[in-house]
Amino acid sequence: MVAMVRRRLPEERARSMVSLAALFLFWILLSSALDPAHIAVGLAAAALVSRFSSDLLIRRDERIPSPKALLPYLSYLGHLAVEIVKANIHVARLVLDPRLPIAPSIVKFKTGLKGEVAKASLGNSITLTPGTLTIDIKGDTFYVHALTREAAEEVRAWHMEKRLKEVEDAA
Amino acid sequence: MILLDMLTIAAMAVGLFFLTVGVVGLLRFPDVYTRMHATTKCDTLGAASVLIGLGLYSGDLFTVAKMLLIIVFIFVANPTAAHAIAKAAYLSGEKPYEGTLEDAYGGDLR
Amino acid sequence: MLPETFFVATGIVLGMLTFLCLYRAVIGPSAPDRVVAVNVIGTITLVILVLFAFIYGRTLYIDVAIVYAMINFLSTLTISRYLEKGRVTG
Repeated sequence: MVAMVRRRLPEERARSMVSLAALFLFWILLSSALDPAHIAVGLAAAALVSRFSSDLLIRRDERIPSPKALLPYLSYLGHLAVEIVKANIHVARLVLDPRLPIAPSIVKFKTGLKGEVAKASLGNSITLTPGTLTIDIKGDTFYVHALTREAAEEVRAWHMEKRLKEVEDAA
Repeated sequence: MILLDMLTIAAMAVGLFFLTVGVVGLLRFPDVYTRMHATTKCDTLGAASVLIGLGLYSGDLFTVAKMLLIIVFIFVANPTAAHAIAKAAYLSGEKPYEGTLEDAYGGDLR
Repeated sequence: MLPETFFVATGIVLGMLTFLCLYRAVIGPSAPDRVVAVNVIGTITLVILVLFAFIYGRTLYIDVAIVYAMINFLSTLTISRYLEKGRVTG
């Protein structure tokens, strides 16, 4: 109850606004209707949920990234798409090769990324790209399962990590 | 709209191919970690590709937006789920198969 | 007319793929293998649900697919948590 009457800090307000926008967009999408009644109910529901549980969607220790990070982020997404297509062709070759030429290994490397979201993004990108799969992240150490020798060598100094670093620096 | 239909069929055929490759990999690879390689990458792109094809066909804005929502969701959720399974598999004592060259994770856990 | 026929054919192929996944889920050999197989079945089911929406012309199935994707993700996370820690809560 104390939280309800306490004055809210600016970043708390910003967090609440971002989650309100996200929840309202999701409502519009699911209801697929743009008449006033649907919009009013959606706004009310989104406002209620974001007022009391915006810290579930965006954690208290995460900052809202600045709009300057958008351009590097889009460039990152573009490169990620290319890498994903390459990864799929790579895996398809390995799977359909009758000799099954795999040489798996579990390697570790350290990252310079700081934020939890950035690290999680790097982990997911590693999983989606050629021949590598994140097993665990402990602090700044990544444990990666690699399908081939080349993939294991490549992931240690990976160009996508530099791109994520740029996004993090701009944010 | 013959061109759009062609694009739909092409995208869905690509998606179907990758989904099939993912399942073949699931059946052929020797241990759980290598199987996960096949399923996470190929399933994610395969499902996304089929959905993109269907989105091109629908021509309805809300339907396309919902398709995009599903695609974004599986691109975030599939690798995260794979990560969770891989860690759980390792910690529950599932050993990588004997052809594995190097195991830095097992060494650091001890 | 051509795309609709192709949708039905795709649905049939995807249905066969789920049976192949089911084979892996049955023979295992380990619990994580089964989780991976069931996760793949979930992804393919999601695609089949969206296909259903187009074959029968009911967009409601797409909403079902969204919810199905979320449940599939959550169930996979819960089962791997159980495998890792031996319990789900705490």
